[in-house]
Amino acid sequence: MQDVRLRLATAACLSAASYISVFGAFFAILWWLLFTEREKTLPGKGVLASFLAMILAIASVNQFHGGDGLSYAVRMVPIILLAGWLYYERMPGELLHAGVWLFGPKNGFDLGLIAEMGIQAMGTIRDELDRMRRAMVLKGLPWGVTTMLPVGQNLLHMQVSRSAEQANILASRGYRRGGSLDAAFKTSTWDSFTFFIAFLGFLLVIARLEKFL
Amino acid sequence: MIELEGIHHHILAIPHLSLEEGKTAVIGANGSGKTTLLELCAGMNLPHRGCILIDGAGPRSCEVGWVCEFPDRNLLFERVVDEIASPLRFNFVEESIIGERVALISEQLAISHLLGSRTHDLSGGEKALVSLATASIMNPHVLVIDEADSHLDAGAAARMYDLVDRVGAPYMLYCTQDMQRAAAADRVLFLKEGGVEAYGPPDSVFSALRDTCFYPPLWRLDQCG
Amino acid sequence: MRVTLSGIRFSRGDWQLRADAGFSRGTHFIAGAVGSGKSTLALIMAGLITPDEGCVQRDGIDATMLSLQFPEAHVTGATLEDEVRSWGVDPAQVLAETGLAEKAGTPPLRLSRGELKRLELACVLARESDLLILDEPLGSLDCVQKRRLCERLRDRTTGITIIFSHEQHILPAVDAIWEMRDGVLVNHGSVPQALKAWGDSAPPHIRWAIARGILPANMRMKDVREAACRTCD
Repeated sequence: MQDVRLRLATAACLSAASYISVFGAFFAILWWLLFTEREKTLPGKGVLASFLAMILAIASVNQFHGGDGLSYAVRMVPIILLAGWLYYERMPGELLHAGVWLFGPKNGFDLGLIAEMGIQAMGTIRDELDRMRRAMVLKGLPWGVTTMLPVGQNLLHMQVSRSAEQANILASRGYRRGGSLDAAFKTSTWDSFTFFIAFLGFLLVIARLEKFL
Repeated sequence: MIELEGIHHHILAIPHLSLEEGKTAVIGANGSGKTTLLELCAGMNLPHRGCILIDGAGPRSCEVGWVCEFPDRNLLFERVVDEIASPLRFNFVEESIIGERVALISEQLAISHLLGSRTHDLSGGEKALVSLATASIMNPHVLVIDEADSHLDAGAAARMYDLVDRVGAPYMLYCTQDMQRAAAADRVLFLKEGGVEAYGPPDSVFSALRDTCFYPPLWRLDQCG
Repeated sequence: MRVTLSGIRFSRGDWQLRADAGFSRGTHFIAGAVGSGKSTLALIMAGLITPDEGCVQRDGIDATMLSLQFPEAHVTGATLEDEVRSWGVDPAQVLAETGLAEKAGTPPLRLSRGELKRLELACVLARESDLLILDEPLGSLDCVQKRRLCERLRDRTTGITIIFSHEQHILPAVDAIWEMRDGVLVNHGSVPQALKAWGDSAPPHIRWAIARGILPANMRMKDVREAACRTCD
């Protein structure tokens, strides 16, 4: 889906639908199966496993305390799939365009800039973690829970110092607040159609909810 | 002139220094205050004591271009075109003018073919040139290059410095560990433990450094051969 | 004692690294432009990444050590003393050697890059290793520190030392010179003949000497000056 506005709106509709009801969750999964590249959009094995483990843990606690843990787990899984799809389809620079379109050249530009730099930082953190894992192996130290604390501290330190450098670079480029940008988007008929389906699903979930209430 | 008066900032202690227009190479051991000095001249930090004036105005009132040591860490955006356009966007320049200026600077630095690329996919030398384009697009009055050649191979570094002349900034301050490169500047500033040890044309500064590793290596060979 | 690279192939997108080589006891210098694959090859030789094809054979090598290009990546300790201890070496000795004894309680990432590089290199060199791989050890150092490192490397007379670097001026004495050219590992041979084979990508002082028909004993500036002065005499 090329148009980031439609993509974000689609993810919002389907995530809301999934969160509200099991019907919404199944609808979201069906949409994901029909309109995305499926396995290609899944996050890495480690990341996926961590998220699923977290959902399972919360669902178990929920169930243990008399809640409907199974319903919770079923409703959360599509949200993870949609997040993976959003990240997979991402094009560089589009969040800046989306921010300016939504909130204008001051607040919108700032939000878009923060979003773009945040996503970039995720890639940097991944590279830093790879380097640190190699450093551990070189020292003959285990890469596990005991070494997580110093690794985490160093990662945080590096990110803070990287942020300070970026602040300097932004200042040297004349950044104060906001910026000029003619927000531009590529929208295809297929994008509009798949968004419409997602929005329809959201409406159905709301309608069923109202009927239920 | 870049005038520094009574500067005290971290390790730096400079009672008085006047830097002339043109290319000034800043050299010295690690920890001698090179980057601190460059950051003050660029207006990134304000000195704890003393003042800096660039042609009568403070550094923050001037247009400054900054290229830092690591090409990777200089890049804020994923696409080359967004990176180079960013100073224009931050200064609210109109979109139509942005397109023209980006095309012009890319052509000057021979990187037009990179505009559609992702910054992550560039070689180290290409990243340095993109950083230079970004630093130069606002026609800076002062262009500062903080040891950007340390992590570039000889070919890429030479190419970057050749193209720097095309930028045409009145003041160019660059810090380098390559004394041969420093020798190509109009003036050399040698810092030692936060103080100015020598400032002047390369011949005069380096003549006092003949017995140190800060002497341009190929000059020794010229004396021999 | 030998390290053999057999049919090593490693691809990333359009770019491919290829290496077929044997490294015997002594010091090997691998030159090459930034982005030519030096760091990737260093990681392959240290066994930290697996090539797509081929294998690395380490005969008579019990311990391998690698110094990474960016010293921050090595840091695991909360203080300098902890950091040195994490390498399994004596903190007092290393901190004294690097002139950082007064900063023993400082967090490593508060050091300047040059100080951190010196510290990590000192730890790596203090470890006993049969195969020592140094990825851009001279980067981030000033000329005084580069000279000291080159002298320290001269003192290492056992095992195999492989230095990856794009340094042009302050260089160590080595036994063999290699080069990464467009992703391919090329062997220029043993010093001093390798200095001729190096060609146009050699450092300026080597090219200066070769152009004048002078063959230095090694690739350091002082070797070139000594050879040039012998020619004058």
